[in-house]
Parts: sequence; C-alpha cells; structure tokens
Amino acid sequence: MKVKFNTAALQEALVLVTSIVPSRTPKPILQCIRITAQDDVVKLCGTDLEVGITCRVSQVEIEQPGDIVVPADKVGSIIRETIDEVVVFEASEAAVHIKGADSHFTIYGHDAGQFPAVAGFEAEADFEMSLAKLQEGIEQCVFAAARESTRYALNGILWEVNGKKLTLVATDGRRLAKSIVNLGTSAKGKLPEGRVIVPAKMMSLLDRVGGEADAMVGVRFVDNQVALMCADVVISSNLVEGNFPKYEDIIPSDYTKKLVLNTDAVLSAVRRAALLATEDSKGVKLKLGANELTFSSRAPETGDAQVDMAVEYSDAPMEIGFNPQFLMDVLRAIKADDFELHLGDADRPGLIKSGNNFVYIVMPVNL
Amino acid sequence: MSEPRYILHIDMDAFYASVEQLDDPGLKGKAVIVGGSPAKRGVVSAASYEARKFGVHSAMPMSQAVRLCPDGIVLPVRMKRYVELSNKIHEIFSRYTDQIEPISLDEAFLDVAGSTQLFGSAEQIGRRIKHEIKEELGLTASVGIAPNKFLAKLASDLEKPDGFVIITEDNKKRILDVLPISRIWGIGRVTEQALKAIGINTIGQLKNTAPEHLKDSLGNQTGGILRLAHGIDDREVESIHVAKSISSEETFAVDIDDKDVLLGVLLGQVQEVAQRLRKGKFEAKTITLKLRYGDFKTVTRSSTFSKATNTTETLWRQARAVFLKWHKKSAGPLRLLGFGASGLITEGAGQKELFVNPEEEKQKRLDQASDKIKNRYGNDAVKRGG
Repeated sequence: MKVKFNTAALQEALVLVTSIVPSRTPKPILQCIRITAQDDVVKLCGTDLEVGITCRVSQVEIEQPGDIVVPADKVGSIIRETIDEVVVFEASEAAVHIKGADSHFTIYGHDAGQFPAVAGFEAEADFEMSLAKLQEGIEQCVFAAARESTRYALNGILWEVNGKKLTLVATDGRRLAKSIVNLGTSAKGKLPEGRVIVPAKMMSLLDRVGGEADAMVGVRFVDNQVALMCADVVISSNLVEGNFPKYEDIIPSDYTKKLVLNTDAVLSAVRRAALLATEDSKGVKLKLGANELTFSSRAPETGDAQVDMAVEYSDAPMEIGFNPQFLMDVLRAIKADDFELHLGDADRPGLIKSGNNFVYIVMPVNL
Repeated sequence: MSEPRYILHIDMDAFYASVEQLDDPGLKGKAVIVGGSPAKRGVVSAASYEARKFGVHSAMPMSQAVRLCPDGIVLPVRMKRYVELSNKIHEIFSRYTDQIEPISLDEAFLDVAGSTQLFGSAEQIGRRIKHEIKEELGLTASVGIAPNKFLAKLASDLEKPDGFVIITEDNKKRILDVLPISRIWGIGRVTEQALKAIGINTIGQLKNTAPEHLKDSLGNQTGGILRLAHGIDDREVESIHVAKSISSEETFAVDIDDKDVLLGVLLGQVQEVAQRLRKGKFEAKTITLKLRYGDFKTVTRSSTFSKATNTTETLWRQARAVFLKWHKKSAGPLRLLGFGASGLITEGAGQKELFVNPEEEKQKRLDQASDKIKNRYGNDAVKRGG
C-alpha cells in the first residue's frame, strides 16, 4: 500500500475512529485501526466489538491499494503532531512507514486478516432524518441513560418508530427523558417489533459526527444490528437485548400544578442551592408558595443555602426534594428559554416539558 | 478541664392538647383533655393549660378528669398527627445540630456546642428554635439551656409554658438551692417523704447534709443524687444517629471448614442484622463479611448496593455471593465469621425509584410479616424454607 493523505482530512477521520478504541482490552488488535485503500478512497475502521465505525477519506492519492492494521494511539499522535500538509503511508512486509517532509516513522502493524469485521452500509436506508435533529434528540436524552446498570436495557436508548416520528427514551430508573425526532422519510417498517435499544455509547458517538447543517442520516437495521450513515461516516452497533421498562405508564397525566420557568434562571438557582446539599441525601428542596419558588439545601455540619425566585403560581403550596444533578442535567439539555414544570405530590415524579417534543420525569428525593 | 457544654432541653407545652387546639382553632383558650374515653377507663394523655387549672394532669383517670373539669372537651389521641408534627419539630432541631436525643414525641435534648460558630451562642440557637417552632408550626415550646442534661431539663420546666431559662455555672447554685428535692431525678415520692421526715425539703438543704445522714434514705444512690444536687451531670446527649453500622459475629469453639455450616451461620447473622435494620428503620448501602482464620489472620470482604436495602433476601443474596467468591479463592478453616451492614440511611430516605420492582415489594411484605410473627412468638417462630 502507498497512499498520500491530506493531513487535515486524515486527522478529522482519525479523531472520530480512535474515539471508540478501548483503552483496556484483552484483545490487543482492538487497540488498532484498520486502514484500507481501494479504488479511489481510503476507509478507516475501529471497533470495540460492540460498536464499530468506518470513516471514508477521499482527499487521497492512492498509488498502490492495500490493507493495514496499526496501533490507534501511535498513528493518532503522529498525525496530530505532524507539521506537513501531506503525509505518505507506505506499507512494507511487516511495517508501516509514515513520511513527512522531514520525518519518517516506522510502526509495526498487525495482520489485517485478524481484524474483526465491521459492518458497512451496503444497502438502502430504512429511513432518513436530519443529522442536526437527531443529534438534538440524542443530547436531550442520552444523559438520562444508566451507565453500568445490571439491567442492560437501561444502558441503552430506546428507539421507537411510528410513521414519520422517531421517539428516543432513556432512563436510569430514577429519571427518564423522552424526545421525539421527526423523520425525513417514513420508515419502511423494518424496525424489529417497532422498538429497539441502541447502546448509549453509539448515540454519544453520533453526537461527535460533524456535518453540514442540512446533512442527513440514514438508518438501517440488519439482524440484531443497527447501522447509521452520515456522509462519509458509518457507525454500526449491536442492539441491546432485554426489556425496556414500560415508560408510557409512568409519565403522569393527572397533574394540576404547573409553572412556566426560565431555563437559565432555574439552572443557576439549582446550582447555587446545591452548593450545600449533603453528600448523603444530595437533595435540593423546592418549596412552592404563592408566586414564590424557593430552592434550598442543608448540610447539618456546614450550613444551609436558599435561593428565592418569583414565579407565577397560585395553586396549593408544596415542598418536594430532588437530586440537583438530575435537574441540572436536563436544564443544560433544554435549548428553549422557558420550560414547563408540572408537579403532583411530594412523593410523585416531577414532570418537565419543553416544546411538543421533549418530556422528562424525575423521581423526588425524600429529604 | 473539659470543653464547656451547651445542652438545650426543648419541651413542647401541652403537646397533644396544643396540636388539637392548632388543628381546630375553636378549641383555643378552652380546656382540652386528650386521652381515652372515661367510659372505657381511659387515662389522660395530655391536658391544655386551661384544663390544668382544674387540677387535670396526664396519667390521671379520665373519669376523675371529667369530674374535676366538667366543661373540658375530651378528645381521642391522634398519634399519627402528633408524630407528623414531632417529625417537623425534629427537622427544625436538625437545622442546628445533628446531636439530638429525642426523649419522647414532645421533648428532646440537643447538644449545640459544635454549632455555635455557625449559628451564634447557645442562647441565640435556643431562641431561633423556639421562634421557628412558633412561626412555622404554630406551637409553643419551653426551652432550657445549661451545661448539662439535668440542669437543662430543670431549666425548661422552670417557667413553663412558653419558658426560656438559662442555667449557667454562675447562677446554678442560686436556682437549685431553693427548689424542692422532688426536682432531682431519682427522688421519687417514697424517698421524698423519707428526706422530709429528717427535715430536708430543698436541694440546698440536701447539699448541706452530711452524706452519712442520707445513706438511710438514699442508699447507694447517695453519691449520684448529691452530684445532681450540686448541678453536676456528665451524661452525654445520645443522638440516635450514633449507629453507623449494625453487625453480628460469632467465634467458634473449634475452627469450621464446612462450607454449608458456615453458610448456615452466615444466614442466621444476615437475618439478625436485617431484622435489627428494619427495627431501627435503617437501610444499608454496604455489607461486609469478616472472616478470621485459625491462625488469627482476619480478612474482610465488602460489597455495596446501588440502592440501600433492608430486605433479608437482598442482603442474603449478596452476602452469599460475597462468601462464595471468598470461598472459591481463599477458603480455610474459620475461627470467626461475622456479617455487618454499614452506610446506614433512614428507611425510605433518599432517591425514589421510577419503576416499582414487584419482587422487592414482595420481599418487603414478607419481611414485615415475619418480623411481626417473631416479635410476638419469638425468633424461632418462623424459619426460611431454604
């Protein structure tokens, strides 16, 4: 193989592909990326066996096609540090040479045949949507997914497709975020059982894909895998097995207490009130009175904090406690200036709505 | 010389009766008597100050109370409501210190020595607590402040109701000396009569009597009572949060190697600890197994739950898993086996869950039922099937 790369294009692809390379793994080859030069494009591939990513780089000159597997961190740092606009990759029998105007690196590669297969995107998409809208939808719920739950389904994000709507739901069992993304094309009805669970990791990876403002994402389901294609990038992933909880039943619909609040103001109030929340309870108390909302917290051995806010509210007074992190997460994800807060009793979840497409529910903390 | 202590004794004024007057403002200023019905040989649980003027006091048979105060309004005890308000009062205390020793629903000791830097002097803290109870709950409390528990309790009683009395090292002699001896803890009616018979009526007189003359009336309590008479009391405020862990361990007469026997012992310990957790209304975040080999080498193995628990089944499942993991790697004859639960939080406190876990709910009900039976018929009344 001998390929001339535009350094900037290569680096962009490398940043994305190396981001899923596992830092610790019993299989050393997973810490490598595969570079394949064929016809007039070069493909960069990385995988951790659960999620795979393929990036096409077309700003290249292929003098001789080929297929190499090289350590991701070394290639990544060499290209990051290089001062040349063009770098040359040349593979000999057992080594890869990376050459700039004044530099020559030799790194030992692995056998390309040993690299696990990474799914591509060979056929037509099942449906398409705008990348920006999908990214917004993901951003609004990915934070609510569990990190390392033994209920594996909670470590993923639920996708439900209904006509021209994609519903994304994530929950860690204590709060739940649901956001709706409008599809560009109707789904061709290939979603297994109408709902699948996609690993949260794949979703956050998608958030890193850069693209034009009007870039579209194609989605395709094959067996127990999902593949997303956006311009030159294909991300594929195994679906998460298991049952996602029946979330429809727990979104309250009988609440009468409602407030319209300013997103930034509440975020600031929660952050400040949380400064003296205790490590144990981690709670911030919201106290609602006539046209007044008070945020407070207390650390028995340190002191207490109180932030007052004037609001429009005339319903019955009430008090409810929340983990401040669960409020800050959602307030950071809401892009609109205002949001709605709906409340029931102190032991029922708080309900937050932004526009018609976003709902968040969060269980209280008993203070 | 030890650090000065600042103990608050806070005593709600005619608590049950005041709560009734609070909830039904029509009762304000009227003689309210809370307790069992006179027809059923009930007794007075509490009487408002208006009723006390007629000589009604708590623990008096209700029939007698009604005779003394025929216009008194007799109301049944609404314990749930009193507990609710008591919890709110407790919450006010906890704003200033976590050193709280509840004596009953309407009375508690607070040690505020550690809080004065933050909230001002003990007097300021006492005034704030009294004020907040009045402002937020509409109830009055009497507050006593002193360097120890005995004097603090004495102080709260001196100007009841709505009292606020501070006893210091400087004024304690003056206050104590004129009080009747019955004010001292440990001097009951019989002792009081015996002392009066030898001409001792006040604490001052008691102090000035040679101890050998008191031996006949006070017996081996003489030293303790004289210390109280001098206003000395070293007892600490025992906050209920002292419990940081609950554990059970057993040292064996001979080292035990048999896995099943050890598991049997462990199960017994888990059941005991779980029951104590539930009794104290705690949930534990972490469990720890303590394993001591024949050569006295001791190891511990811990595991932490994502959500605190006190169900026997959950604790046992985890304890068993930890034990089996240890057994697989480092089994050996044991001299001692112990099981402990730590990271205790109040039951039901903290983050609530969105989805009810039906299995866990079932286990909780099972535990409740089994605890009930054990409380009534003893620990051997119910056993696990396997």
